[in-house]
Amino acid sequence: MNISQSLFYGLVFTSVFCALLLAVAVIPLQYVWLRPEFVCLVLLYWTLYTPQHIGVGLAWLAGLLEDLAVGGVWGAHALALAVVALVAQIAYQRLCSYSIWQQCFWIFMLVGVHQLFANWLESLHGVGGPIGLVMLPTVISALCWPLLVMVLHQLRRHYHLQ
Amino acid sequence: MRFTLLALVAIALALIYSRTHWFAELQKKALDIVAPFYWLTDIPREIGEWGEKRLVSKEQLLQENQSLHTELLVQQHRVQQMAAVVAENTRLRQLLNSADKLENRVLVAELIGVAPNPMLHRVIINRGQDDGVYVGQPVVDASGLVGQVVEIGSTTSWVMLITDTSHALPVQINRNGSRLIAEGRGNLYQLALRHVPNNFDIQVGDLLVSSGLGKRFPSGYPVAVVESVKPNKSSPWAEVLAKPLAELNRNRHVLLVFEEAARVAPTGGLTPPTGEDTPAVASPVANPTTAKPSANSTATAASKMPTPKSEPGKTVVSPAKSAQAAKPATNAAPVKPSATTPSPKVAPPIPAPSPPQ
Repeated sequence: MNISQSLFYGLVFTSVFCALLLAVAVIPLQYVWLRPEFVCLVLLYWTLYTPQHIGVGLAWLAGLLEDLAVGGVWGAHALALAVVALVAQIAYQRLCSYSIWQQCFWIFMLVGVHQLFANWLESLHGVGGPIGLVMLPTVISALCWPLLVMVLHQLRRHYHLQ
Repeated sequence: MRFTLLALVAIALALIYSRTHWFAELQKKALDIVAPFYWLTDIPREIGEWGEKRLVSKEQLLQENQSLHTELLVQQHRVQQMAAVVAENTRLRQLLNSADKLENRVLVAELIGVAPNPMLHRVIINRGQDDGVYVGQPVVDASGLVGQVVEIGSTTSWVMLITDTSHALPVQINRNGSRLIAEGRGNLYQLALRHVPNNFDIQVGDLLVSSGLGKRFPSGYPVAVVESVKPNKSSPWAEVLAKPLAELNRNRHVLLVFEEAARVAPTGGLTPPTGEDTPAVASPVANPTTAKPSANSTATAASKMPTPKSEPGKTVVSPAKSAQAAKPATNAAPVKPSATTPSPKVAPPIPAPSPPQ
């Protein structure tokens, strides 16, 4: 593994780690349903822009770690992120050619799929939420997408990573 | 192919997690792995708190000190009365031949995180197996019952709040002693009472205390206050809602209650204290150094439960310290009445497993 490759994986792991921190950070009760799906967004970014390195396997692992961290049903986020990563890997050429606002719409759809799958497995354990509220983070996540793309693009440019 | 395999594994994991207890041991390890996330996210708040403490003015501190002194005085006054009342209670219980009442030892814990899933009413606290915490341990705060420990790691544990949808606990109305079940509704400010007949004697404002049935929560802790009673003519049951007393959304420090506890009722060859004895040992908390225990109360001190770990940062408080001193013996094991110095009699916490409620 050469230096730029290790830098790349370092950046990926750091971003996923930060997303996990944001996913468990305490937020006020009234905003609790508005938390964006940070881990999902970060993994979508890496699968869309570097599909040759990041794929279903890593997304699944990150999802499992998120399940452990949030104390929910094991496998719920793992399945959801694997599904989303698969779709992103198949459609990355089309999605990356879109403008950022068109991408936002697609991110809305993909995070929605993530929420549906995660919520499906969580409701097996009785901790699935009402569908209207479960879909709220989807909107917020889509609105966060341009910011995330900007930050991660900058970081990649800064470290000269392709 | 790879995706199909991973998806199937994920679904299998979810099914095993929700349908079996096979992951119980792994969950303990998982909590140790993810605890650092919660520690890390707690750092900004800790820095803020630290800064707040450093930047407080001298006047404010003095004022706070003054008010705390006043409060302490009031509490001490109450404790003095408590000692006499507890002794009297013990004697009356003996007269009635009723079961021994248990004393509880508590351990202060700090909340370091909240489960991110809004449907999961769980908090993570900074005490774990190393501190003697066990699964099923009751958790209370200054104003009421908070919940119970559901998963433990070595230094942290998950506490399920009483408002979680999968939680229910046996309570009784303090006014008339009627027993009911209070269950969580996934709302931090609401508990629902199940199977309350339409003509049941329950009023808005009734205090609900834990009944101790089910053997998980100790009896007598305040749980909730009845908020609304709606008789339902089309069904045999009224719709009764209650508001939890514990500050489930605001508390920062909680108390872990150890159930193993010293026994209140006298055992062995010791005689219960007479009415004249009680005032003499009424205020050991107010002035612990001057309270020279008699042979009887020495036995009490000797059999007092030691903490599993007595580190300086880990405060272990016994709320009924004074009450215990008024009692003749607090341990089931016979204690030498001639003992003059309190010898620590170690009895580790018994993690008596009880069936889920």
